[in-house]
Amino acid sequence: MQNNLVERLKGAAFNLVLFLAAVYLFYLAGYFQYDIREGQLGPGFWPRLLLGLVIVLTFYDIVLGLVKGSTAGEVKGVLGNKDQANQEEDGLPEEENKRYPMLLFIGCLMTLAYVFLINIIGFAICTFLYLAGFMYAGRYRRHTVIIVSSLLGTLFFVFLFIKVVYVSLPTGVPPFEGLTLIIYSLLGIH
Amino acid sequence: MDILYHLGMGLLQCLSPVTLLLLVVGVLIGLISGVLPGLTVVMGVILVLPFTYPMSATNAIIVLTAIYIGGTYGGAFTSILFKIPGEPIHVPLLWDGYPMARQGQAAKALGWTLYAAIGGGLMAAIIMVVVSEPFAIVALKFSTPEYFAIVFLGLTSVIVLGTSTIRQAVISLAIGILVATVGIDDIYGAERFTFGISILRDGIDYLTVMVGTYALAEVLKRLEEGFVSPTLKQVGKVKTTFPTWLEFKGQIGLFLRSIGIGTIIGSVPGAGATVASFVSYGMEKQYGKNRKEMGKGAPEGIVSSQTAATASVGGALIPLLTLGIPGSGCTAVILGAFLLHGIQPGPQVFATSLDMVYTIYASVFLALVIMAIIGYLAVKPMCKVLDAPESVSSAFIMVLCFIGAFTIRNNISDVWMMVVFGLIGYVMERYNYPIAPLVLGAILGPLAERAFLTTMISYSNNWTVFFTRPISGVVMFISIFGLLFTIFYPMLKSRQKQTTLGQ
Repeated sequence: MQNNLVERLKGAAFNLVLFLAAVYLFYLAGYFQYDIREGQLGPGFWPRLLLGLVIVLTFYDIVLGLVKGSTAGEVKGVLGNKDQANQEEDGLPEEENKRYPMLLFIGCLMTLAYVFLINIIGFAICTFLYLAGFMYAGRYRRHTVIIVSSLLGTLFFVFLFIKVVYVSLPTGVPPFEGLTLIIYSLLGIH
Repeated sequence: MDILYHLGMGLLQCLSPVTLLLLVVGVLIGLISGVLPGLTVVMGVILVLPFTYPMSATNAIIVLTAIYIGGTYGGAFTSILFKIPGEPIHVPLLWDGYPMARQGQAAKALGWTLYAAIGGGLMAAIIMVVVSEPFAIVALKFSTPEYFAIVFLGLTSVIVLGTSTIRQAVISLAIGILVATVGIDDIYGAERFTFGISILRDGIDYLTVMVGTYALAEVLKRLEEGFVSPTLKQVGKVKTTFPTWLEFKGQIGLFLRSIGIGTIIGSVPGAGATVASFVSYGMEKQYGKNRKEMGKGAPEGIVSSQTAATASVGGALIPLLTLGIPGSGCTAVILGAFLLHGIQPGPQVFATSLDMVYTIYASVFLALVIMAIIGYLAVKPMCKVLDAPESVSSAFIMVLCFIGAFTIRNNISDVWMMVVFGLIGYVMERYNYPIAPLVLGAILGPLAERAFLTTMISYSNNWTVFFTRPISGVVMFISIFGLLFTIFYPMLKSRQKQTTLGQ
């Protein structure tokens, strides 16, 4: 019984976040600065219309989730109903995949670190480290393949996007900038 | 006659070595993104977008369209042979293609798929060429109520044709449209939801939303599942055997129906190849001559879904080129490529850049032929792509996501934004909220708001104008009827079922 309640609260958590965010934004949308002209709807009308919709629907979802616990048997889009019908016909429920939350956590952390560090250590070094790290985090363990593909991949990206596509990817700050420039000169990028 | 002349000129343009090479590369990337389960065709198109910046606008559109075309076919091989759909488009192929393969008719199943892809694609391309120019002429007379009605149809179709509950789809769509309101608005010049962050003043580019929610969120989801790559059985001596003329003749009606469904669904803003494939299969299973055999290895199951999927490409290009409204995720990226090259697609393009339009048309025909040739000759190597370790390919996809987001405005803030949307996309998927409405909302939101508010200003806040003008009235009626039908028909049906059971 208690587990069931915890599950229901967990299910309602996301809707609650959406609901609160929508209420806050609805309030903000009433205070946009503009030249008010008689008879015009104003810049807040459109967002408020949508936010009102989100508030009503998420509130309904929260109540429904807490009382009923699931959305089973609810009206779905055409493809949802077809999917369900096919599953019923097959008699096979959808397979639940095994989850590795730690891998996800590491992946997210690495991704945030990449974006944070790219301006400091530069695209080339950051990308090499990210590629190798992500492959390793993805449970791939052939070290030679990891290092070689990360190195070649990085050089390929650098050459293509800087020399061919002319994208000014971050070079980093000293001393990393110096290293990036050495890589560029090795690739014939001046 | 004019059409044939322009098409011929376009074909000549496409036969230049560079364009031909781009077509082959595009089709190959499309096929590979169709094969790999972690890489969808929309992701394929998004990830190639930054490579198209130094190209001419025409070549950029050609390569992206070629990926789109290839992507609607690539996953068919692995669905039929190994029961691994690389794309949601090919899920219906599992129901008939795979059983056919198990009955020892894999070659025939592949033959039917190839017939369906090329037949559906070519016929839809012909329809696209014939219909587009007259439609563009009509579209020149469209005013803001008509534009709003068409965009509204797109927004409702993504709700009606989705897989989630209607309520979740509406919430997701509303969030997408809200994302599009961030920044300085077009009509009043007011700053909205910027929270004092300067980069938000320019708004959130929908490509950032697309890269984050489609590509990054998908990779994160698969990482959480531990990148379980499918175990591939021996490909063996895989070949394609074409159906006989008699067999084909028996399916002509089905071909035509599926082409019609694919083209119409493709042309509805918001509905793409997946929807076309499922709806066409569903229609055949409900009303087809051989419906009882479907699901057990009937060619009808293959032909209906694959024909509609490839036909949807031609359909999706019609609203993109004639109205500047994307008909699917892939055409949204193609629209982005147009805009990045300083071209606004719409009826005016037919007056200002007719050569470009017909070169794109001709490239669709050529891409289909190239796709058929590669599809016939390279089934085995295509399947072998699945052997690539997913963590390696995913790492590269992630880096391409970063580059893709960065190159939109050469700003690291867009990369942060993309990561944020990736995380939002992941969380939404975990809570069963669909992603497609959010993305479509971000794409069509500005068009909808602009058309709605301009109409309100022009017609003194008289909202009935959307229903009293003939074209917008009909389109609005179709949208609202579709929405109400989707909501109330299953309710009515289940009530009837309960009454019958009670008796």
